[in-house]
Amino acid sequence: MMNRRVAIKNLVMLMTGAAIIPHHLRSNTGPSIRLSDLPINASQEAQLAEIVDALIPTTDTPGAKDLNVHLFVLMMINDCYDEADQAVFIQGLDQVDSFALKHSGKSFTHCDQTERVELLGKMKSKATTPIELWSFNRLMRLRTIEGYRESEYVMTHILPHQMIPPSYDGYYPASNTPQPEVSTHG
Amino acid sequence: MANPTINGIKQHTYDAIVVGSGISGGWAAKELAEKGLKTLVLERGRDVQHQIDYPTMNKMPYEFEHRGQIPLKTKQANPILGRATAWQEDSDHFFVKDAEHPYVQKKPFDWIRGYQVGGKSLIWARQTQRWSNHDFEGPARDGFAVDWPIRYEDLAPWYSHVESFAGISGNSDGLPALPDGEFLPPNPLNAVEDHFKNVLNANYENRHLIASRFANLTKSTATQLAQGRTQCMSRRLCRRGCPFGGYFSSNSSTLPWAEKTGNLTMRPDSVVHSIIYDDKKEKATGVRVIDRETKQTTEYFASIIFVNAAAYNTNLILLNSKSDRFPQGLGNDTGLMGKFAAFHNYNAKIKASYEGMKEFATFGQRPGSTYIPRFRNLFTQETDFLRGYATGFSASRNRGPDASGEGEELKTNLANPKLRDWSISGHAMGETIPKESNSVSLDSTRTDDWGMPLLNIDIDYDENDRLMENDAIDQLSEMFTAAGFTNIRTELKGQAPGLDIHEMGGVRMGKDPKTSLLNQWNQLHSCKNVFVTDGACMTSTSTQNPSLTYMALTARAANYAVKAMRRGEV
Repeated sequence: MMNRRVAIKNLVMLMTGAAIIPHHLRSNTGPSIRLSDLPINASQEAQLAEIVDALIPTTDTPGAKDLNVHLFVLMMINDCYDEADQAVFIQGLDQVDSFALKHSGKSFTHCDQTERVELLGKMKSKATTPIELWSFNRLMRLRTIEGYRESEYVMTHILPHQMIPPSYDGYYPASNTPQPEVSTHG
Repeated sequence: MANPTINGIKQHTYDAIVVGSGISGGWAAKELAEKGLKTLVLERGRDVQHQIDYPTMNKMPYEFEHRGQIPLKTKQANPILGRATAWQEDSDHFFVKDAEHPYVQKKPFDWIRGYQVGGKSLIWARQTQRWSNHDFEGPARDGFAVDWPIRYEDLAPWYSHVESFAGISGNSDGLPALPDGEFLPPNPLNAVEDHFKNVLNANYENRHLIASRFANLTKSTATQLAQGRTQCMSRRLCRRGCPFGGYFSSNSSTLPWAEKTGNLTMRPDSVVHSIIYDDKKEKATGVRVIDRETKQTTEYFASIIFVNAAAYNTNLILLNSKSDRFPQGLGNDTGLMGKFAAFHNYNAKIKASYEGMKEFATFGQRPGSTYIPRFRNLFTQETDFLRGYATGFSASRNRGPDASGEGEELKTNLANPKLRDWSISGHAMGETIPKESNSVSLDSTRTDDWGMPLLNIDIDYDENDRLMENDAIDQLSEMFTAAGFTNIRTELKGQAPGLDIHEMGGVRMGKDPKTSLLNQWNQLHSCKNVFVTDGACMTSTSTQNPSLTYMALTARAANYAVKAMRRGEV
């Protein structure tokens, strides 16, 4: 599993040229990308990477972490949300471990993928999840899915994006299964 | 230019000057240059060359840092622009930012502008429906504004002229409210749109769903190929500028065409301060220009001047063109200039679902959608409000992401988009009644970075608009119900005027110089070598998207101007 993951990651880096070496591998200081407003440190970034990795894991194709989607999420939270939303996002992120401890008896990073998936599912329940964590999960999920779907890898290998769409058919048989479409920005 | 030399004046003298390079200015430039007039086009914004200056036109979604979204700080800095749906990360460079060009909102008014060569023709919505005599005769029949000095018959050949060149798709529908024209193949309707069309035909005498007429090349004829424009690829990315020239813009069509004649001089970065009036010659002799970058003033001279600065900026320039003869602004003897401004009411929106036609979906993309021409008060007055509304309508059933689950389940779901339900939406486009109280005027104290007075905009809805938008909600709900649509959701948006980006009026056409500013040829009544053919000239607004009518009015006026000039009349 690890070998395959590393292999895929190397492959992705070769393909995209996006060889970002996280600072936190060397020191526990700031995040690996420049963020003007979001006060986040390297270990929080590493935690987020584990979370997006659990949400969209590496399989025979790269997962969200392999595609650096956690960095996309941080950039979007930094650029597209106000201070209050950013604060809630970080508070929620910091609550992930205590939530994991409560439900699985260990920190998130020590949970296996099955346990992580269960935790992510549980976080969707507003009734049983602290509001900050619930909000974090909602935002993280939204932006992780966006960053993954609209990554170069997915848009070239999984659901090839067509800049020129197929010609219009207003009576397309619903039973047909076409080549999967990615919505365009039209 | 305090003491211009004879040479300097000669170098700065043309046969015609066109102020503005947007959708109508581009047409003025083309017609005048084609007829052999040395034509100077002045554009206040930067140059935008077709294809060369469309930096985002071929970018993939992942090449946009924020995947199309405008970052929050930019949004917060642009509350007005932020309400314009076409303003996205990929089209950011074609929109004026709030702080760059302030104006005074006496009442809330979202003034959306595109200051560049091509103006808003780069980012327009491309709907191009003709007016009929039900529109031109509206003010006279219903007793508002003043009678138009022209009728459909005056404009019909010019609609044909501009449609053939620009390339307009559509059907010949044979409808009294919406005359047919010179059309490229229409956009196809889908299963639910055809269903809705049939329901309307079965239940109403006078309500017709048609393929909307669009300025996208469903086919490129020899006329467009000669412009270097090929078929629209249905990318629906028009706002970025089109590498194919698949939709009509000044940049892709009229301006390069004018340039090919050798008679066009294009001068971007030229903020027109005012039109120069010569009291002795009793006509306009040129324009005063402030360079956008250096702020230096220069004068240019010509026999005829077309003002196509975009409706309210045309008002601004004319009001600012003060002389001994015209102390209230050029051609403004009556004090009417700036008044009777109007817009379109886009408040009424409706959405619904449909459980029928489940055997069909939609696949691929098309550039247009569908349209219901005005049916209210068309032949006779039938409601407690004047005039009516057209309706934009579309239905779709696409595949979209299935974002359920976590982990490998989510990943598998995302790789397998699911067929969604039918999604149906409509919106009304209401005619508003031009009123004296809806006006634009020069601010008496504040100026912009170029020393131009700020524009006061004092425009609001009225009771007629409220009654009409409520009627639109009622009627659309009734029609949706008749079609068996479910989960019908209606909304009155309550958006400020202006967001329609159909600002009109202030320099209206009319028969009588006492009650209007322009004659039947779009000449200022009292300064006949100045023509106004953009939205400022509109006497009433009707319900059609106005650009096609500006194009036709411009082509007509330009051809008249050339003849009048050769006859020595201007």
